[in-house]
Amino acid sequence: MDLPAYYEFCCRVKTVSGHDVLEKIPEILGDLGARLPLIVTDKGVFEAGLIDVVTAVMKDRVPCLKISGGSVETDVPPDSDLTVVNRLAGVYREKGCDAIIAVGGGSVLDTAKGVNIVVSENASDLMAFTGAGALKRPLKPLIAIPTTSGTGSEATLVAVIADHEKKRKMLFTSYFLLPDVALLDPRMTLSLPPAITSATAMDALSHAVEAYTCLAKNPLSDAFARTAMELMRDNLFKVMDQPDDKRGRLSLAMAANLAGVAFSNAMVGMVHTLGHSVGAVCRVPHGMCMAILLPYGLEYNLHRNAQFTSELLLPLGGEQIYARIPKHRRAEKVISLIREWNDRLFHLTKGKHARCFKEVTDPEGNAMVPRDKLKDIALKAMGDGSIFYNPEELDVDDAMMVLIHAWEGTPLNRDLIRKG
Amino acid sequence: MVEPENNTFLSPVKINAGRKALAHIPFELGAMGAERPLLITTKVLGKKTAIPRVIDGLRGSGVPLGIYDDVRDHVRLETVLSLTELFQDGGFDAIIALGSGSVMHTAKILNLAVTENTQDLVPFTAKGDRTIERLKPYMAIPASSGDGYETTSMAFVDDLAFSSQFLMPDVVVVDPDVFSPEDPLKAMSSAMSALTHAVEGFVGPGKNPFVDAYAYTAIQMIVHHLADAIGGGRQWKAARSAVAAAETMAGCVFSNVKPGLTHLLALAVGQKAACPRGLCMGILLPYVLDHLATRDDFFVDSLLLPMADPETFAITSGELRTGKVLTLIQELQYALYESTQKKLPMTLEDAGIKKDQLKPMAASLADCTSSDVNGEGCLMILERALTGDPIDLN
Repeated sequence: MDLPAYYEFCCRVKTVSGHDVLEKIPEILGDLGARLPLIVTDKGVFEAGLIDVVTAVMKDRVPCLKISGGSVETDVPPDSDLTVVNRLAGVYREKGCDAIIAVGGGSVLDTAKGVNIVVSENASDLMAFTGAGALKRPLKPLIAIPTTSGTGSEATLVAVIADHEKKRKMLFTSYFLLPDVALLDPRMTLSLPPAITSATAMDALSHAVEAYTCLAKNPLSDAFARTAMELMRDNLFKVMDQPDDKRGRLSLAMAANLAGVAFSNAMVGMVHTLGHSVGAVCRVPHGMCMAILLPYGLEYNLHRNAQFTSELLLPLGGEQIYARIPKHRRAEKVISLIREWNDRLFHLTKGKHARCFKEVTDPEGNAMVPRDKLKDIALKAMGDGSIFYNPEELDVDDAMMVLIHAWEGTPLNRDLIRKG
Repeated sequence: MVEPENNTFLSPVKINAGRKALAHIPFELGAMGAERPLLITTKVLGKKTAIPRVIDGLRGSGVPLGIYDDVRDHVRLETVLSLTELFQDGGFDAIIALGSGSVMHTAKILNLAVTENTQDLVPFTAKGDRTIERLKPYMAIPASSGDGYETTSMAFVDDLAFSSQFLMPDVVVVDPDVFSPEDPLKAMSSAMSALTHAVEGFVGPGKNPFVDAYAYTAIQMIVHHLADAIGGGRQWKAARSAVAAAETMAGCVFSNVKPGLTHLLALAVGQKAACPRGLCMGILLPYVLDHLATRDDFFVDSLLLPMADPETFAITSGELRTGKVLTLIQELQYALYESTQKKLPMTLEDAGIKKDQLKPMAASLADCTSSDVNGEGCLMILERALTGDPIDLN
């Protein structure tokens, strides 16, 4: 087996998963030496009643836990914000909290991480802790409870906080930003509507696939990616059919977490490069961009990546399909399989899971990606960090070509790819 | 695939592996907030290239480094206590362990002693009443073959046993440049013990997707690189460091599951055997797997994927996989046997075990096996391994 000349792998978050793991929160807090957590979440999660599930469980289990003296803060905006971070840090101090529980998606966790820096380092200026490795010691205990099965951000060591006043984004990278514990409980994702389930699952799938096929892969990230794909293969459509399938939901949460571990160790490529850009220019939800672009990323890189792509057929298609398809056809089968998944998801969500950008609409039914924006998207993509890990070099013309096909929903003409 | 309903996984160990990994030490120390590490190792390794390479790796980075090179093969509390004084007087704030076995045990317990600032470690043992909490930054650099506990949550000194996930290293740096040629039987013992831990995690009832990922990778790397690591070909250092990385991963697996039957049997056998415990594990492993293959809470057949390749796995029908797995393990053993000019013990008899020793061994295991295999089952496995009873592969 080939090994990379050098690689690093870290999966340091304690991950507790199961059907009743929320019930373990008091015990986990106890192990971390904490008893008064600040619960951070956003309005969507709060209104879905998920916080009640969490707090009820904590009160029932340990009546003496001073949870009522802690605080539940629900005003995290979609892109985490410095003012909110500072306000929440104030609440943390005022109430005498000693741990943070983040319930939600990426922005909630980013906000919680920002609060944690402020309260642990007693920082007045977060700017001093930006960049890689500026944090030098463990922060306050942080527990992450994801409420979608997609981003895997409970396994990542970065945080992005927006300073809207100064119009800048601050990036923090440190192993001390990793949550101490991630809790995966199917009750948190049970009520997700089908289109969110499908988009977030494809987000997770794109993490696993790109981690496995892009340049910074290593044997451990491969193993995490493979396992994530197997879980997705066996559970995504089960859950689409039976949204209240608790076992299936737990498996998807696990898959998203494993995919998060894989990509945070192996990085991602052009699917994310272009996807970030579509998100930034047209406000298309991230998962939807990933679902649409994933087959194109594999198709574009195929001449460099046939080997790795064909290996994906075993975890994605299962052993029978893998054995039946001849070696030289496997990579193409992987790409068509992912297109089939998107197509099935399109029908299962009554068209809400878009297969191409021209099908993406906002809640009012208006098209979100006008064709004349594709040029802006392609240009903006050139500045995205993930572009460095893509197997084939992606220039702006090729980005444009891929985007046009992804807009129309037609396969790439692979003869036209500039092979660098 | 198997999807367990409830599980917990923790592996605090960051792995940096491959060429020039040593050059990343200053960065990793910085990221842990360590400014003044004490490096501990053995005199033997100090004389080899390992130490100078590590110092080269730190040179120019301005990290003041203390070095203690008198750790002996047998871990002694006395050493730990005198190191504790050295650590505190020297104003150190982190530990780097270079070597294997005793060095790593010493480092873990030293870390406990300096963090808790105590000479009385008994309360922190597995039987004591104090729990071990977060310790100081600890980096491990494997440089020789060991006992399989290096990166695990367990540590032993004299007759004291400690167990806590906080004992595990924060970072393990695996660099091909620190390895020197060593006794192939030692290297094999170390690798077979890692293979056993990984295999038992992968097939066992405690498996979960995290354990699977670490175990899969460890198994794959040991099976594919062990022969080269020992064979001494041109690429032996790269292969040796791949095996060391796999041993690290196997340690993470071992720390997250209950010890399996092969491990437990080897503990009993190892006390009487004339060879290292890891070699006993290698002898026992196929017989234990054969014994467990019929049970539906063990997944011996699934080993074929990491041991062979996706192609072989997919074209081998389900009922033939277990046989193929056992063949591959035996082939691996036999290749090692050949490469050591037949010095590798292949049966418990070769390892110096007598038939009349088996019964007491099996009896001693009767109440500690985690796999619900009764004393009779254990005895059967031991008897088969004693003489190298052929395994029916169909």
